[in-house]
Amino acid sequence: MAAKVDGETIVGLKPVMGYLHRNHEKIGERNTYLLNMPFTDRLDYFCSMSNNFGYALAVEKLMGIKPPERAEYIRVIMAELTRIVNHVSTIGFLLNDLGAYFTPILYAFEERELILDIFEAVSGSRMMCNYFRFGGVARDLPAGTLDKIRDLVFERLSRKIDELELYLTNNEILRHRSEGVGVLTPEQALAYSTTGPVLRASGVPYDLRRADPYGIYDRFDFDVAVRYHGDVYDRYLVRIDEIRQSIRILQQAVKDIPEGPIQEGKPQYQVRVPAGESYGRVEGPKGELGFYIVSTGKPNPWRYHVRAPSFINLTPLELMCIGQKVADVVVILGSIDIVLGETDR
Amino acid sequence: MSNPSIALETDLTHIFPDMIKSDERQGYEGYIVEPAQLVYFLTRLRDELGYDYLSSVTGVDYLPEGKMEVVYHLRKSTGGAPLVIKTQVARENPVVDSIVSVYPGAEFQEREAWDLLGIRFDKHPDLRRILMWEGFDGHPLRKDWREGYFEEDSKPFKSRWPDGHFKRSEQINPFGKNVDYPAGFDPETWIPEPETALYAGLDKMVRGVEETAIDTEQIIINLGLNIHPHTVYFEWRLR
Repeated sequence: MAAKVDGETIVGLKPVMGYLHRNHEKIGERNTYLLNMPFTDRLDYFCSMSNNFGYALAVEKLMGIKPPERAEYIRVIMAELTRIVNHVSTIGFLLNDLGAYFTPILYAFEERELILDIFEAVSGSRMMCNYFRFGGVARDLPAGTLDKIRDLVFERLSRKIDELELYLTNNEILRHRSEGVGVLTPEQALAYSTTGPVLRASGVPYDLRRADPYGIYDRFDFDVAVRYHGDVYDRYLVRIDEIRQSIRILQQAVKDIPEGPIQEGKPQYQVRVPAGESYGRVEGPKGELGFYIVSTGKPNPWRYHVRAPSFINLTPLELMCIGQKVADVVVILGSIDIVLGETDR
Repeated sequence: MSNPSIALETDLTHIFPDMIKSDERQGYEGYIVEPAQLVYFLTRLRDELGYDYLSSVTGVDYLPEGKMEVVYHLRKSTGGAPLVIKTQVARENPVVDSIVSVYPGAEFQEREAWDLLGIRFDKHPDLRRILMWEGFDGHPLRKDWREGYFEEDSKPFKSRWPDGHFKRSEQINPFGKNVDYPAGFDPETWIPEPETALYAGLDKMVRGVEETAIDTEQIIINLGLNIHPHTVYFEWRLR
């Protein structure tokens, strides 16, 4: 970022990016459809399951297939666990930026590790999961995994979030540093195309899981977390709320998950994708994650575009920072929650 | 709960008969709008039909047809499926009106489309490369742009499959010859002009800041960011 300051006050700011650019989209056009699945893990390496989900939805829309029931439930469970992983680490890192160096993040990482253990059990990898397939998921849950997830969502997670809140939510330093900082009004948030917690903390109750449901999200009972001040503190609160809602969804999902197949048809190495365009999108932990795919009927996509929330949420950064102090810029950036693997692609 | 099919059921060609036509290509959806009327059309969509939220802007290079297409996904903040709007221009020197004045959220996405596809957006407030650097030759997402180690358009490459032989990209593309620069560009003597442009952009963007009693001086600082989330450290560079 290049910032222009008057004394300590920001009067202008430009994000400068691209240092981690690897032309994801060009490589994605060379790859076959399935080869892109592990490649999406590398976008936002904190939430690879959500990335898989969005890409799988886009290609499935073109192919006109739907995964079987059990796979749908597994997908929702994984996507919501990913959201918890992302939000606890975001909260931890935000505190890092506020100067509470590495103590909160270690509390957060404790929960993250437990969830990553589940990811490792189902997919073989902690972070680069590569778990979703077109029309299903790669393999069924191993024995005992569902019990582990039950344990987490019914017994452990909500208590741990309570504990986190007990330490943080009314912490004087946190509130002083974050209340009224980096304010984005609802009109601005919409006009600047922000999504996810940034948009919802500004008082716009827009969540794709509700607004344009995908998968089986229309079956679950949950609230769209929304806060109204649009400052850093509200973005923190929205994330806490969302973790609680994710736990609610998870509790319903692990209760209802049926037995059955996990893949529609036979697993294929080379899928046949008819010509056309499709836009698959999910409410990722950071916002709307979209995949725009144009197919010409060949084994590789003609165009593969990633609508990256970390990238687009940076557009109003200058707006949020103007008039704030230099030290607050760090906090504001932390509250947007960007991952450079996705910003630069 | 909104009805996700509303956007698809309403036929916008009745409302805007001379501006748009529906996209008839097999497997495609949405509408194609005349480039000249794009901004006017989107303004009316936003103000009259409630598409107040721009989801994504991107471009597609249709090399065989010689066309460059810009794709907009619009949404209503009250919910529903996205509305897909496209506009097509000639592939040679494509110019489309910028929609930043209607949807400010398009700013970075249009810069990205310019950077990667070479679509110029007229009246964009700050059209510079965003992901690539200025010493990069061409626009990499164009279908006729080829990387230095180019083998084939699509994987699996014949050199590697099914026999398993392959050449390392260093062999195809020896060190020292593996980078192309734009004509007239010499990295040794290059003075990063874009930084000047960047700082000039900062000057342009100065908005009303209250006058303080203290006599302060305006300086520019660079803040560096680690690649991993949030761990920001400072690198002060004063100008």
